[in-house]
Amino acid sequence: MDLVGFKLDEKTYQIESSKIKEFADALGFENSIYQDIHFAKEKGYRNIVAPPTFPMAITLWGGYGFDYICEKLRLNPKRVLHAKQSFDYYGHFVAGDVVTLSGEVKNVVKKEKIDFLDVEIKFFNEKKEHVVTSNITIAQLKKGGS
Amino acid sequence: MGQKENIWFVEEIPPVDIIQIVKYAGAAGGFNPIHFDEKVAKDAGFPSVIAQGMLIMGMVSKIIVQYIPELSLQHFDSKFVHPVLAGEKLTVESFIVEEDSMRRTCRFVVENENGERKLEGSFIYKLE
Repeated sequence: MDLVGFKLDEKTYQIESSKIKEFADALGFENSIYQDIHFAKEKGYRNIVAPPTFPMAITLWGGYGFDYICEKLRLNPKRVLHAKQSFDYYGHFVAGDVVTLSGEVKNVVKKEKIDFLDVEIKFFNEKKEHVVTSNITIAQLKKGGS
Repeated sequence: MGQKENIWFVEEIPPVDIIQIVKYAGAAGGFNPIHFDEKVAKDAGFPSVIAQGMLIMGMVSKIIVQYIPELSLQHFDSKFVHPVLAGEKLTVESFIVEEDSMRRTCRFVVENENGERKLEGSFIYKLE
């Protein structure tokens, strides 16, 4: 099956402030606009702000979980690795935002021991503004590869 | 590789332990067993469970935002070159690649104590 052009179903996800805080805590952020509503409001933000790599949490909790991706893209979940990641930012998300995300397979490169899949995910806010694009390169290790 | 004259900052990344790996898995919602199941990790050819590339990239982001104006990041990418194991001491080095009046482009590398390359990537941010 040629996966290039394959689209993942559109999903929506509401960002809870406790999820942002938990994510920021796990990365070692402290006393920041990513955790503390007082800091965030002092700086003029409506709520605590999503850190730069938070779109990955939106992706995984927002409907494109690991099992879902493996099933849709026919990957062996025991031999999958994240090879590359990029984000392009056109705005930012804060807690309370409702995000719409849509994904598409952009490229597939097949090699002897490993296949690479590029998946592009676009994130929009309630106003349909494009806030972030995430590009995920997934590596599928083949049998016998190391 | 690195043009030392353009070096901007060097920072240590605190070593991750299995608790932090699991905490990040829960926070991010990523449950690839290679990050917490020893057998799965060994079957895939690793000595032990490995940290999520995104955990280390996220820790790099925490350092970057300390150096740049708030919410000025326009682009951030990383290649996960070699997996990071629990307990490894890592350093991130950043280099300025180019800048104009609007934005600055930087490169970064993450290496362990033996100079093994773990992550490499770039970021672009808007100048104030």
